[in-house]
Amino acid sequence: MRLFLFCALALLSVLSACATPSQPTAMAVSGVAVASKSSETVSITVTGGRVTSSTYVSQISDADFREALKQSILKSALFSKVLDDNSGRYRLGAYIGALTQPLMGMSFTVDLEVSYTLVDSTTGKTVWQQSIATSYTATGSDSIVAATRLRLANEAAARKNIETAIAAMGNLGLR
Amino acid sequence: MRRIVKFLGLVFLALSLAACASLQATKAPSADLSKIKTVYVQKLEGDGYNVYQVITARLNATGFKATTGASADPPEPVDAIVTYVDRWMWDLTMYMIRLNIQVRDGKSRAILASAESYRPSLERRSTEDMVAETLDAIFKQ
Repeated sequence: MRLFLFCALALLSVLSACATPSQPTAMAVSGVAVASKSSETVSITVTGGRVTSSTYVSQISDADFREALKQSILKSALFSKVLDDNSGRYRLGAYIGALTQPLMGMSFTVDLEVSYTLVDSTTGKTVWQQSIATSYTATGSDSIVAATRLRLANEAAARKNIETAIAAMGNLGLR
Repeated sequence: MRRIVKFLGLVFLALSLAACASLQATKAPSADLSKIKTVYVQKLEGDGYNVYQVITARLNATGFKATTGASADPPEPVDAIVTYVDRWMWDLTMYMIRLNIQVRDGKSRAILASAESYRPSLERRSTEDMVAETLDAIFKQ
């Protein structure tokens, strides 16, 4: 009976621990070259993401991607402040439209596509809109554990995506 | 012996729970899919199962004017471009385990909406059914 319980618990623990969500700190970037910085505030809304527990593979959630965007914007000083409500001078929307992942293999290539929209809340006009596609291939040297390898690929694709987005917004000459 | 049977039963239950089919769809906040009338289905490079033809047929059957081709750019202006990624597995026969479909703006190619259907072996369906449920999930949001 003890052996049965041990095996059952071991099996359940393996199944429940097979995937971990992409981490905000691992998706955030620092040191992005920003041509011009804004002295205004920004609010961020992220949609289209997924929670990891519902799919059994590592995903990128709305909250985690938003936190990564927030950290990256603050580190680059692109805007003076990131507000948690919707009262920022600028409103940045990010729609995670595609997160394409492999099923198996040693090399995991993840393709991420995010559609960004930046709106000036005082005029209601869209000042920037761009769909950014990035990808990253994690190999066996990154991790021998497949679930970890997939998460690392997610996070690296997200980093590249956020870096491109911040660099693009930095070229807008925002007030 | 009874312990082994119990254990195998638990394994079967756990695997069954871990392999549930799922269908998820999302839409960009500002997207208005009701305005879409004409669609171009971009054939995925290396599509060996003619999924692009099934998608095009389904769109035409549901009231859209859909065309298809291998080029990334549609030959004529369209309201939306459809792209997709299909994943296949083998379990006695080949079956589609996952299908991702994206509906993009016809000009900017920005993703307006997307959906993913995931069906493991025990819940497998035909390509036509997978395409239908995925497209329906997108346009019924």
